[in-house]
Amino acid sequence: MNGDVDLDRLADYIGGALDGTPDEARVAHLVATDPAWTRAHAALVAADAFVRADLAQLAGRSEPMPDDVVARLDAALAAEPRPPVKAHLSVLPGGLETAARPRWRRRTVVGVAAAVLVLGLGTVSLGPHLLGGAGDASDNAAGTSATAPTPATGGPEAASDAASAAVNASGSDYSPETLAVLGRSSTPVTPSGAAKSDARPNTLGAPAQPSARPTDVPEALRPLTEPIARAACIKALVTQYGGTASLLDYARYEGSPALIVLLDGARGVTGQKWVVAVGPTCGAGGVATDQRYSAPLG
Amino acid sequence: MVGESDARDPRDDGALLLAHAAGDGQAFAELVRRHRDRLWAVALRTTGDREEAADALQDALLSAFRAADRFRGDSAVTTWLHRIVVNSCLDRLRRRQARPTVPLPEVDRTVAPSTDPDTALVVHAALAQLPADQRAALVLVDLQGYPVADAARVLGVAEGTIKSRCARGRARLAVLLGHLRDHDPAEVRNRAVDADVPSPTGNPSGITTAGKEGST
Repeated sequence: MNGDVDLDRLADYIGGALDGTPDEARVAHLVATDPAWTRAHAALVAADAFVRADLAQLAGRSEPMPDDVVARLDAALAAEPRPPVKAHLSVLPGGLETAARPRWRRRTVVGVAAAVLVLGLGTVSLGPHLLGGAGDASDNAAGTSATAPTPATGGPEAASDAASAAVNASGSDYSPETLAVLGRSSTPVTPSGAAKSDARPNTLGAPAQPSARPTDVPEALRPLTEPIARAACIKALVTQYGGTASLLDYARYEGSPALIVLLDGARGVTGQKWVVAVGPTCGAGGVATDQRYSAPLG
Repeated sequence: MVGESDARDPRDDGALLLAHAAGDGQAFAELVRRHRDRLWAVALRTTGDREEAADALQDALLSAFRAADRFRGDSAVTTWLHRIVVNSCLDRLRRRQARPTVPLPEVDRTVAPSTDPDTALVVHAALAQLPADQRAALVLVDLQGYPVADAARVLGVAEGTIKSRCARGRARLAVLLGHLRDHDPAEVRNRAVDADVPSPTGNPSGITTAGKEGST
């Protein structure tokens, strides 16, 4: 094979990943007419067979869980508190459960609704897709303010998960260093690391200053602006780290689209902040977190 | 992949998970006992490191333990568990990549012929040098025997993406294992950034070895 042949592209062709795409015919033409591609194709087909045979050897090798790992997992699970029992639990198609909602959560939802109602003038809506009714926003660039926040569209479950979080779409490209700044300031940072001053936590007791426009959200993160998807993501993170989400920023982490989540009270420790950068599939399946970065702060 | 039952406990996987969510103190342990070897193999082969695998598996099983009541019921319990475990492993690998002071495992660069009696060990080491997403796809499809469609569900990506990750991963392994001798193993090893093929309706320009995955 020589340097003119794209190994990945040729591998895609051989592996069937190009089937049905316009590139399938283009690569087929190259393989049929370009001597370098013809040789490379033959070599990779032969090598692919060897690799599959090698992998089959590894697949046939038994990998029982070592006794010490078994003991460790048993101990970890035994130490885990029982999950709260939900009355009348059932799972409906599509994953909607019918369990009775705990009383405290109903109170939270009522509280969120009340807070949304009293925020009133001085805010503009990010729209139901970005906020899910739990927050509010303004136009950063123009500094304008107009309408009242949009009520929740994702249902009380979705609303309660991010109810106390400020929501932003800063467009910042975070690094571990700038995330540390975020933890100290509790506000999104600019790419240079300086904290922005136009977003504040949207706690129930303190009406928020709005901060972002839906158009600032990286395209890959659009699914996470849906209230239910975002709530699933936050829930998965809270399940892992504990605490509550105090800030969400639709941004980037080391160049890739990422939702930045700041958790307060992580690990059950009052005041413990934890920052997590997650990718677009956070919340998938109810438990995936798709983490790019995670670290305690302070 | 369908819910399994066991001589020790006649309940299938779905019943065990529901029983756990309903307060049965033994149900989750039974579920883990039933699938632990397979989950361990996935974790070990995906992370390429025993301690990372143990940590990732513990995180994953604790997450599953806590989140059992949110199991959607639209996939097999084993698929759900594998998804949690693989994502836990990938989370750890991504965090490790973000900390360059912790290097990826290295193996001897000398070519290992297929007749080597320790081929499995050599392949395991070579697998550890692939980009994490390619490795996870290969582990599920070529090592654990998942159909492409099931692997796509576990990893939450399109089937074409799984095919691409597997194909590119095998090509890299071919170089690392000496089956493609005109390529430099070091160059292949250093391609830490994955690039998936786009979906059939996607952007063909995504087919490069230098791009960065952004859609999965």
